[in-house]
Amino acid sequence: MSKMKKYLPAVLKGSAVLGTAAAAAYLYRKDDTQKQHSILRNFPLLGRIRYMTEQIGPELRQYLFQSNTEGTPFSRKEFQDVVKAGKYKERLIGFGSERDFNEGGYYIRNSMFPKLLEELRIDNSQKINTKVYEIDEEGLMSRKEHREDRQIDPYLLRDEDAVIIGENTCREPFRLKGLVGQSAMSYGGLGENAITALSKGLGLAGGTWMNTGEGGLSPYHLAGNPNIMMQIGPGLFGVRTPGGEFSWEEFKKKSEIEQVKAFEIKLAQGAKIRGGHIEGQKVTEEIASIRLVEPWKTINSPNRFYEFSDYYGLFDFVERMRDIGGKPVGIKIVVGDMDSLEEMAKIMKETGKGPDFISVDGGEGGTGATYQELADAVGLPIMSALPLVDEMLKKYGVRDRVKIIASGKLVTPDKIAVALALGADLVQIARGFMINVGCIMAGICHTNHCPAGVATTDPKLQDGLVVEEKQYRVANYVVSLREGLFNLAAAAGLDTPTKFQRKHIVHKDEWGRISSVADVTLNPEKVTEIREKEKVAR
Amino acid sequence: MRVLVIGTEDMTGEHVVKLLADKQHEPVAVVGSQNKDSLMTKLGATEVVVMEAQNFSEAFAGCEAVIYLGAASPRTGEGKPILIDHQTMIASVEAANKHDVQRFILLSPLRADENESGGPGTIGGKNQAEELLRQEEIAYTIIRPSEPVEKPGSGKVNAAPSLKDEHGEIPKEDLASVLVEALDSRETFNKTFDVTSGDTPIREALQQL
Repeated sequence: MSKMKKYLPAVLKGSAVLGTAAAAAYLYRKDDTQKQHSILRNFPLLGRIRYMTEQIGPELRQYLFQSNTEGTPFSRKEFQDVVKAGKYKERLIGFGSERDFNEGGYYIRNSMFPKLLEELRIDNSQKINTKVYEIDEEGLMSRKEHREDRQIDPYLLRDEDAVIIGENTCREPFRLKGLVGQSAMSYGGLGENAITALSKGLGLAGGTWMNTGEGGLSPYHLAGNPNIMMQIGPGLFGVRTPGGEFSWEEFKKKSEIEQVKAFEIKLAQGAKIRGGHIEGQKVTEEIASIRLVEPWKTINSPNRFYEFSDYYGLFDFVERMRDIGGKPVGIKIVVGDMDSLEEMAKIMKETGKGPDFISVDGGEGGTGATYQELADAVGLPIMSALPLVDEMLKKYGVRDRVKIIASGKLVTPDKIAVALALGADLVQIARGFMINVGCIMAGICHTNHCPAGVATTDPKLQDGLVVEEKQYRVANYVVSLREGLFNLAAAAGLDTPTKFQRKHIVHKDEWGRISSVADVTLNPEKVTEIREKEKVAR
Repeated sequence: MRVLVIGTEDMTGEHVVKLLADKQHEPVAVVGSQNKDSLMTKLGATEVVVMEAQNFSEAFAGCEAVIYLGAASPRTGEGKPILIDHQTMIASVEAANKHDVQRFILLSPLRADENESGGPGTIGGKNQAEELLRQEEIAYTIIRPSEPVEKPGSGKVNAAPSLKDEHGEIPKEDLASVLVEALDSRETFNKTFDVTSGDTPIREALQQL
């Protein structure tokens, strides 16, 4: 016994050293002889450090090395602004803005005589009972905080200021007393916990809507009784026959559901001009039954509807949907081709037909899964696309027939206000809401391994997402955005944010030159004309 | 009952108007700016009076009761700090007397934890209106709340002539219920009491006074 005690430490130490040496020798030999990586062949073992640091680089950069305003798609600052609005219902900052004022960007023109708070046209008659966090003590390693009940003002628009979609065309127009909604996110792309939390939060906030995404209408979307905008993509999920054709019968059934307020035909999405993609492992039996497809098979939707191939066909399809459903029908587009945009406006004028709303998604829009080349290069960013659509519809005198819904990283009140000024009637957000149900921007939505349990159907990972807790953050976020919009409207001298126009913002470029957005003509021919003149002048 | 509500700019006042309408009373809301008209009507106000010196007294005509939220002056706009407006309060008591109003409920600007006899927290002239009201021939009720907070109401409170609860709070929704319930609770007539969040249903708590 005593001998063993005497030699044990030495033996342990010895075997640890030998073991490490053996492992190192093994890996050295393995690296040296493999034929896949040239760095490892030339620098066995040492080359592995490069791999490892590259692997954990994003995390290191995100948490340690990047400044608050760096980082994509959302900087730490933007991320925190969104989280704080939901968690603490707080948007106050100290000492000043972190925005880079040397960069080009839009600014809101402040009135010398802003509106008093009591002059704003707000409907606060229905209070919302929610929960917010209060910080007790801010420590180095942890933060002590507790959650408490709060009764808050909803910051809704007055009845007479409400935005009405399909006012003159539908049996059941969609009235909205808030300008911000949740953009398309499918059940399947997101798990049931995330969708349920969103649904309950949006239902609690009121005056908003939830877009189902193209993955069909699930019971989780209906859980909190919010207004539903049902999206229909080329995959026709939830409204298809077993053979894959559009089912008017299923469509009629969906349109009879009271919460369903409008339909959106997805022609394109900012991050992808292609059909949706969902990995087979995400397609559970339940998802399959909601989408009316086969379970456990990877779904790639076609990138265009088989039902129509031009505007005439599309508008006839819209007419029929509106006729059968009685509810507003819109289209979701990405702007790239101005000629096509012009053709659309022209045909709208000529036929007297067309959508009740157009959702314009910016090229910066997000997605659960797409190809890099499509996400990065196809379609214009929202702030450039919006005025084009607005202007084109005005040019053909059909602007009053449609509402424009903008999307693409519009996650804070300032960005929303700019979008409204540039021509949007309403704004919808997806990722801002994901962040409020726990998303940490891990960027692996397409894998079903989302660490926050948001973009996954894995029950174990979803266990991390507590619906009861997250629903209040969702409600707080919407209300906070609406409150922020009223703040900005007041600053611009407006009594309601529905009155934002192009004259209320200016653009400053990176050299400090100011250009009015109001008198810039966005008629493509004029733009070319101006460019030609500039060329001559040079 | 036609009830004049003065001090509607705060959340408590909004709840008072709504509760009165829910209970089939006819709330007449006094507001600081014309823009508030729409909100008050939405909440259920039968009539909305914009606060102006010349017609202020006339607003009392035909009203059977007054609920005055002393901590929120009608001259206090949403953007302005809460003013305690002794003059309006005193003018209100006088106007109520003149127009034969039978019932006056005052949400006292004095907090439940403020000491009337001076001491470290001096109360200034906060109790002037209370003194005046006690001398009039009106059935008064003076309610001193703990700190009103913007939380959902629980429907339960503690009410007593004197509560020793220094850090207490009461949801504005509950405070509004207390004011409206007190309207026809005989037990509260000609009494001054403290109220804070508690465990007795509001009606019961008032009956026990």
